[in-house]
This record gives sequence, structure tokens and C-alpha cells, in this order.
Amino acid sequence: MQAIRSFVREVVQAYKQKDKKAICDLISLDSSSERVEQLSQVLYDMTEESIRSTVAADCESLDAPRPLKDLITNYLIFTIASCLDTSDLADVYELLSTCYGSFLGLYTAFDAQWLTPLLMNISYSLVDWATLADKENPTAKELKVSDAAAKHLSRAFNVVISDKTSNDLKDSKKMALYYLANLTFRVYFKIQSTRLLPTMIANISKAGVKLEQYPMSQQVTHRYYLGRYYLYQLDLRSTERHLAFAFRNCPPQNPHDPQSTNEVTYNNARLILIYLVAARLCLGIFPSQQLLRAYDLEVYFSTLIRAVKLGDLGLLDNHLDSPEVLGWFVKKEIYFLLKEKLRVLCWRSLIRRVWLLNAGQPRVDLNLLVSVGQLLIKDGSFDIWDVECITASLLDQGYIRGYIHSEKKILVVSKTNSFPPVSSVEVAEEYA
Amino acid sequence: MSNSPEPKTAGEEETRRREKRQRRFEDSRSDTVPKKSKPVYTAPVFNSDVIDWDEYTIVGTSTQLEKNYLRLTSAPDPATVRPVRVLQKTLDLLKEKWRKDQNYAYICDQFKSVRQDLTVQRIKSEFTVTVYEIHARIALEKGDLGEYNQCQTQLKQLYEYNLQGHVMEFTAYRILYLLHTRNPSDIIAMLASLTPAQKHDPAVKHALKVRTALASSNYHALFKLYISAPNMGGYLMDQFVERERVEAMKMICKAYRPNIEVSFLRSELGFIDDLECTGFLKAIGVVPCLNQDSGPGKKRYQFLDTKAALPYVLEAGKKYQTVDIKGQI
Repeated sequence: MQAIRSFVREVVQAYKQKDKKAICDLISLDSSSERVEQLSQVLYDMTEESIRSTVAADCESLDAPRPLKDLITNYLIFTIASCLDTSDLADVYELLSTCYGSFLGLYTAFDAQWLTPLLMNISYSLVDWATLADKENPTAKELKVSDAAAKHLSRAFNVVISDKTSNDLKDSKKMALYYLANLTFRVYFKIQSTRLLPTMIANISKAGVKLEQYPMSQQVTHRYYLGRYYLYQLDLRSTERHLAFAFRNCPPQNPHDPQSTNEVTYNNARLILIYLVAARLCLGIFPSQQLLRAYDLEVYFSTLIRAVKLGDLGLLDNHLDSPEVLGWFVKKEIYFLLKEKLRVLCWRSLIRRVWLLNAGQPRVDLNLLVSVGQLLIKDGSFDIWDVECITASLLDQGYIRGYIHSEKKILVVSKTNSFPPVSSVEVAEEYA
Repeated sequence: MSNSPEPKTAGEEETRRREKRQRRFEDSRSDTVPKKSKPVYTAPVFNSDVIDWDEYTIVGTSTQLEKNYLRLTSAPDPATVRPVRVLQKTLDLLKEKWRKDQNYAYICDQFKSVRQDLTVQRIKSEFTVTVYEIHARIALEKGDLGEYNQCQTQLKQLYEYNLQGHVMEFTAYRILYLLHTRNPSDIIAMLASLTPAQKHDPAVKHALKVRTALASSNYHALFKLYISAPNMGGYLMDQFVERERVEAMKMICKAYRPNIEVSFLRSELGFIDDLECTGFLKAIGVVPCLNQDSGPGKKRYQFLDTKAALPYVLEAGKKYQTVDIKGQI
């Protein structure tokens, strides 16, 4: 009991002095920390009722504002629940959720900038606990993470974004802007609902801050999610731009020196690289074998590169559909992207090689392409109309320069730059 | 889809359309294998069709077969609500009336009131599924996407209760509907949620092939799929066929020189006949670019000057920039 009373006193004092370090130490969400250990041992013997009344009484005598009293009370109730093995994770999340609500009650005050570090800690914890609760009950109608994002993070975000007190980031609530945005993005991607992303992106751009002012870790994370989002939209150039930045700014990995490699940063870099490689392949830019090897990605991408260079459609399909890698491509959500885009590039390669074999004469016989196509994809029903359509598509997208003569069934390529380098071709957005 | 009764093409096309209309009422042909024979519930209920048994559920007593739809503002009077055995008779009546009169406004109104009666009595059974499926198909035939989407949303939930119904047919429709609205993340999420059984079903396979054709701008495959669409998929594809035809025209006009045969356009773009094809070309304004060539024999080939036609086609394509979803979501 006494320990609780002194805890309350310390918190109220920290609050009155706006001591941001102290408040973070006190309202600790790290269940392995000593303070939480000590608190939980005391709380174990207390009823919820007695926790409430103790805190209430002390807050009254110390003249603490009501939202602060609520925060302390809810924090303590959450803490003991989080330490018990017998707790239902969903319930623990709900308690933290209540606590978060009380915290926001304090945070909305116009002079609450000093609480921003605590905001970041508690937001991270909220999503963390929500994720744990969802793992326990994955088929629940409403996932806890989406509750966290919709109810709490969005409110916090609004508070942060409307703080107009200072232009200096470290004195403004906007310091937490990208941290919160990144947490929210993480949730949206987890629940595979990216519909609200454009709104958030628009809101961020109106906030009057620059991403470059923030810690690199937040920049990299943010760019990663932006890259993933643009990949969904099939805007490959934007994807590449963001992911390339993110990858370049990851701590360098050296697989031959176990000391320098941190598992978390390695996994993050690899994740960024997977999508960067996928986007760049579709733009005709190939990674080196060393790079793929360094991140253990050879088994997935090497064959694809070979197929595209040769124009071997059969190899492309066989590899993507092979049981060893199919599941992986589907899980990473790049199966359809690669299957469709690389097919186009394969055809471009194929037609170009046929043209080269004919000593670069401007006329390419379409019937020849039909035979080649039938051989490669082992489909007898593949006919001249399929070839004409594919060729028209390549011409339309700019991969080949020339025209088709319908009556003569030939493709006539232009004298200069007939097969422009793939990476130089403008890739149109699919959904305008 | 044009309704012009061209005598010489009546055969195949009309049969296809008639078959489509017939399918609406073949509810005996369910294709789901129920995992359990009855829905699982925890408390004893007196009506075995009711899931989510609630103390305040109404049991209707009305015997009046037809009823206009009125949006509810408070708990309904049981005397105005029809119990299931009456609704079953209503459904038979409505099927007959639709066949005879084809009055969509009336039918839609009646179906909405049947749905409402089922909802307030919390009846979620195979009969409910049938009602929604039939209404959905009728809405599709009339191009009422708003109403169709409402039914589709309900059906998705009902199927999750393991109720028998035409799950595969409607899964295929859902895919085609998403292709119309063109929301990439919805489509990806939908694809990820398909079971292997669904992926092997012919109707779903067809819809997936349509997705592939759209994604790879393969107009040749797309319009072949349009002509061979199973069940009522064709009506859903109708929603984006126009847009895709203009897109295909753009590619063709950019790729081919000096010209392209109109017969090629007719077959590649999935038109029923020459009349429909010419109608389309007129609509996008390329008629000035057509010229005739009287070759040997009786046939007269028409050609389209692709270079001249391109600006018209690009102009026509501008109106397809955003998708308009009419009606309620």
C-alpha cells in the first residue's frame, strides 16, 4: 500500500514539474523492468477497488487533476493484469486501451508537448498488446489491432498534427508524427486494408513538416511503407524511389562478420530488398548475384532474371509456379505482379532475339512468333491473334518501336532504337 | 449488350441470353457441400433456421403475399411481417411475375420487403440465401449495381455460416465486381482469401482469367472470355466492356499501320454482329476514318485508318478515368 502511495506521489510530482524523463520511467510499459516488477508484487495483493481508492485519495490530497488520477489508476490496473500468466490477452489489451484513453485526456492539453515521448511508448505498447491479443484469437470478428488504429492512434495523430505551438520539432507534439504514422501503417498492412492510406498521406503532407527532419529509422520505416503502398497501386517508379532510399539507408550488412549483423536490421533490410528487387525487375533493372546471395534471395529471383533475359516464357511460369517458391511469392504478394509484368518483358526479349537472328532486318514474321510461342508455353491453342495482341501491347507500352501490318502479318520495327532499353521505358500507371 | 433482334444471329446469342435468364431460378442446383447439416448454436431455439437467437426476435403473422417496401424507423408490428412459410409462397409468386411482366421497379421493391421480413425475424437460412441470390441475379440483369452489391455483401456473410447456396457462382461475381471497381488492394485481398477448391471451380477460374487478361492488357483473351462468361458473369463484364473496348482500340490504333480490317475489330472486341460493331465505332466518332474497299467477289471489306482514328479514340477514353459506383454500398 505504501509503495503505491509513494508511486502516486512521484508521478504527480513529475507531472507538475513536466519532467519528461521521470514520467517515462514511472509509467513504464516494459514488463521486464525492475519498477514494473516491484509494482506488480505490491499490486498482486490489492483488489481493484483498493487500488482505485488509494490512488483517488492520494490524488485528492496532492491536488492532482482528474485525468491524471484516471491515468494512474488505469495504468496500475493494466500493469498487474499484464504480469499475470492467467490473464486473457484480450482483456489486458482492453485495460491498456482504457489507459490510453485516459492518457489522451491529458495529452490534448495545449501545453502537453513534454508528454510526447510517453505518447510514443504507450502507442507502441498498445499495438504490441493488440497484436498479441489477435494471435490468441485470430478469427475474432473485430481484430484488436484495427481497434487500436481506428480508435486510438487516429485520435493521437489528430492531436499531434494540430499542435501549432512551435516550429522547432523537439518542442512540438509533431515530433511523434511519423512514429505514429508508421505504427498506423503497420496496422493497416497487417489487416490488409490500405484504403485509408491516401488520406493519411495527404494529412501528413499538410502538417508542415519534412521527413528529413526526423530520425533515420523513422524515415526508412516510412519510406518502406510508402514503397509497399505504391507497389499495390502498380506505380513502379514511386515504389522504386522510396524503397531504394530505404535500402540505401539501412545499416550495412556483412554476412561474413557475425558481429556486425544484427538480426532485426538484417531482416528489415531483406524485407525492403525483396520488394525493391521485385519492382526493379519489372522495370528491367537486375540485381547482382552477390546482392541476392548476401540476402539469401538467390533461390527466388535468379531464375526469373535468366528467364527474362532469354525471353523464356516456359521457364518463367515453371519457376513461379514451382511448389518450392510459389507459396513464398504469394505470401509476399508479388506473385501476380511478377507473373504479369515479367511475361511482357519476356516477350520483348523473345521478339528482339528473333529480330537479331534475322540479322536485324526490320521485318519480323509474326507467324514465326506463333510457332516459337507454342513451343515455349506448350499451348497448341496459341495463335496469330494472341501474338498480334501481345505485339500491339508491347508497341503501345513503348517496349518496341514500329508497327504491325495486319494483312502481311509482319511486325516492322523502326530503324533506330527499335527495342529501347527496358529501364528507359515510361511505365504507365495501371489505374489512372 | 444490345437487344436488337437480328434474325440471322438469333440462334447462338439469344439462346445464351435465355439460358442466363433460366439459371436465375435454378436454386435446386446448389454447389456447396455442407460441412455440417445444421448451423451450430449454443442455446435451444424453437425455430431451427434462426442463428443469433434473441429474446426480442419477432415472429410474423401476416399472410398477405405481396407487400410494399417501407424503411423501418422502429420495431415492426408482427401483424405486418410474413413468416417463412408465407414468404416461400411470395417468392414463387414473384418469380412468376418477373417472368411474365419484367417490371423491375415493382420486383425490386417486393424483394426488398421480403428481405426486410427475413431480417427482422432474424432468419438466416438457406431460404434467405435463395432470396438474396435471386434478387442479385435480377439486379445484375438490369444493371443495378447498387442493389446487386447489397445482396452480394449479405451473401458473403450468409455463406460464412456454411449455408448451402451457389457459392462458386457468386464468388466469381465478386471477383468480376471488384475488377469493375478497380481497387487494387481489394482485389489482392480477395485473391489471397480464395480456397484451393474455389480456384478449381470453372466459374471462379473464368473470373480469375478475366483478371489476368485485364491486368496484362490482353484484349484478345478478354473478349473471348466475355463471350464465354458462365452464369450471369456477362452482365458484370458488361459494366467494363465499354471501357476496355476503347482501351483496346487505343492499342490497336497505335500499333497497326496503315489500317485495320473492321472484321478484325468485330471479332477481336467481342461484338455480336456487324451492326453492334459499327454502332460502337460511330459512338466513338471514328466513322470518318472508315473507308471501303471493293475487293473481288461479293464481300466488301471495310478498313479503319488507324492513324487518323487515334485522336478520336484517345478523346473517347478520357471519360473512363474514374469509376462511378451507383447506388448504395
